[in-house]
Amino acid sequence: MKPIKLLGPVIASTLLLLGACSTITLVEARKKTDIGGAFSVESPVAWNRVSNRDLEMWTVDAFNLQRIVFTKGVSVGDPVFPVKGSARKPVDQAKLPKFNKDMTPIELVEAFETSMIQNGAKKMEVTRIQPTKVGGGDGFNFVFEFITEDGLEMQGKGLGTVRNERLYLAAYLGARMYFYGKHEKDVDAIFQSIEFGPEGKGFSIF
Amino acid sequence: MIGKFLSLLAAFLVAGCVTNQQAYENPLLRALSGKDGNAGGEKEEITTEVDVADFMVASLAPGASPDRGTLEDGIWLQSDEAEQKLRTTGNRVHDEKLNEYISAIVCKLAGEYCSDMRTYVIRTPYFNATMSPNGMMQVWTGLLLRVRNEAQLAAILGHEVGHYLRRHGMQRIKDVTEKLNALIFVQLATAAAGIPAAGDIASLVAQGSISAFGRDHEREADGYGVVLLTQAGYDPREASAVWSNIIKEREAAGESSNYSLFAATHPPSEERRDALKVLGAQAIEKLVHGVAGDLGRDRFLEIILPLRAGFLRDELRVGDFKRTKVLLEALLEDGENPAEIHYFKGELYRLRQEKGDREKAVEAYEKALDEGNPPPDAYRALGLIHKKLGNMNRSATYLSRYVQLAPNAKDRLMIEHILKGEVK
Repeated sequence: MKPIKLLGPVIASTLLLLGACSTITLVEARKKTDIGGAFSVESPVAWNRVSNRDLEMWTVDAFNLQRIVFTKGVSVGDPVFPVKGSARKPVDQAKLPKFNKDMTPIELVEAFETSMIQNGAKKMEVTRIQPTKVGGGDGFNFVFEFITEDGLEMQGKGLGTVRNERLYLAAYLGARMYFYGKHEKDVDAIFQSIEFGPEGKGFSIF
Repeated sequence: MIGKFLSLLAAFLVAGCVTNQQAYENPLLRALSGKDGNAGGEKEEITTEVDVADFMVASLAPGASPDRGTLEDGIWLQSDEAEQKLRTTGNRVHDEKLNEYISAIVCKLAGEYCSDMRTYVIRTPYFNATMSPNGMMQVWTGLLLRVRNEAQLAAILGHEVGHYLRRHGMQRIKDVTEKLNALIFVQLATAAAGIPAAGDIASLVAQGSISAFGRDHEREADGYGVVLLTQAGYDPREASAVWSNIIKEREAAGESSNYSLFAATHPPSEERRDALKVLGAQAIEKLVHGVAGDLGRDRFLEIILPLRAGFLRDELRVGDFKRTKVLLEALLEDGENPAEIHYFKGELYRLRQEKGDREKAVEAYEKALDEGNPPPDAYRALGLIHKKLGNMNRSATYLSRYVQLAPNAKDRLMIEHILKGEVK
């Protein structure tokens, strides 16, 4: 089934997650795709895509079952992971951890963890953090798990880097049963393909 | 038309008066409200006498369930549905020892009603416990951080058992349905409690919503709680002590702080503390002939201390630092595992990021180390702060110690990477 045919569930879950009306577009397979004008990625398979000012989300089956979330570059003082919650349970933006440039990768992942909890994740636990290269520069990756309010067990992985005083985070999460594993390798390929555009000198986050 | 409206209005007013009079026929309510059912504005001396008979008139027989097809049956069905969801909810705590421990206390308090109640521990960092009409009880982990011994925990559980015995959930829904203002009530009550979505009253009651019980019900449940507490062999004065803790936290954190959902929709904490103090003293005199019961502190600590760090981490993630600071001060005063509490104070300052907080964090982490046997994370925290302060040697010392103490830590590779970069 082509991803674009799954618009019904996609729209419903997207409205919940982004908290606003969004247009769903197709991410074509094996084609460079721009994320917020900051970096590009390439995917082996096609995805459904929605976007707001701060975040971009992709899914194949439905956003509640599996999704990649990219931040488009967080400036100092802005929320590390700018989640909005749902209309019924909006996230108090004042309580989201904010990015500052002397945060270590451990603190950035901790801020991601707190943001996910504010967004409704239960028993959220990061189980591994380690250094890695992201888009050719210093970065970090992490693995996590949580349970949704309804009891669905989820797992996820993410990566992050800081360039030109802006934080870039990407996280993939999905239902532990079937949906996470279904596209995990595709996501690995997407994360490997991250390429930043021309830029000035970055700074080390280590 | 106007005549009909006036008749209806008069009927509502009369109904309201009758309800109040009937409510004050209950000895405890009469006692807590003042003499002769006078619920006027003046604060009156509480002169109640505690009599077991006053608080053991349960509205349900053990094992009883409502007749099929009645309004109450419908409410129970909704409660059962809510319970079905609660069984698999994401934040349910499955720790076997903790669940067994709390269920055993409930059974001790509820006696022959034990098998009618089912307790679920929910990982939520607020002071709260709820009871649904069908016997589904929720205990939030924030409550477990705010009681100091088993007797205090039992005081809250006994209060919830009191709600069940007196069918308060059913009474409330019947009351508001009859007055036709259910929706307004729920909206006001839930808004006061900071709950954004009201939903229908039946499902709120079914889910054990705190707003579903009226203040009179809370006062009555407090009375039943004291009696059950005493009869189960606990010191009933501890019921009042719980409220002293909560008042302290609220005063220090400020009124604006969402310190307790439980307290937000219940009678004023001061009133409860004072009333429970009187009732507790009288219960000792009248029910157990002056012999104060058990506190059960050791049993409580054996179960709670191994879980406390996780609950405190949840507290910090709420981001209500004023409230959490007061809680940590109270736990320090309590004296159990001070190294852990100093570490969390350090975490609070690190996360709060106000002016001077980095220095305060360092001081708190160092106190954790001074106490001996600190959480390994205290070394990591000090190592990372000293790195930011440019104290590379001290940073490396602390981080190396962290890796040594926590060889399987989730961030070991990251810390080793930092160490490789800094230690030449």
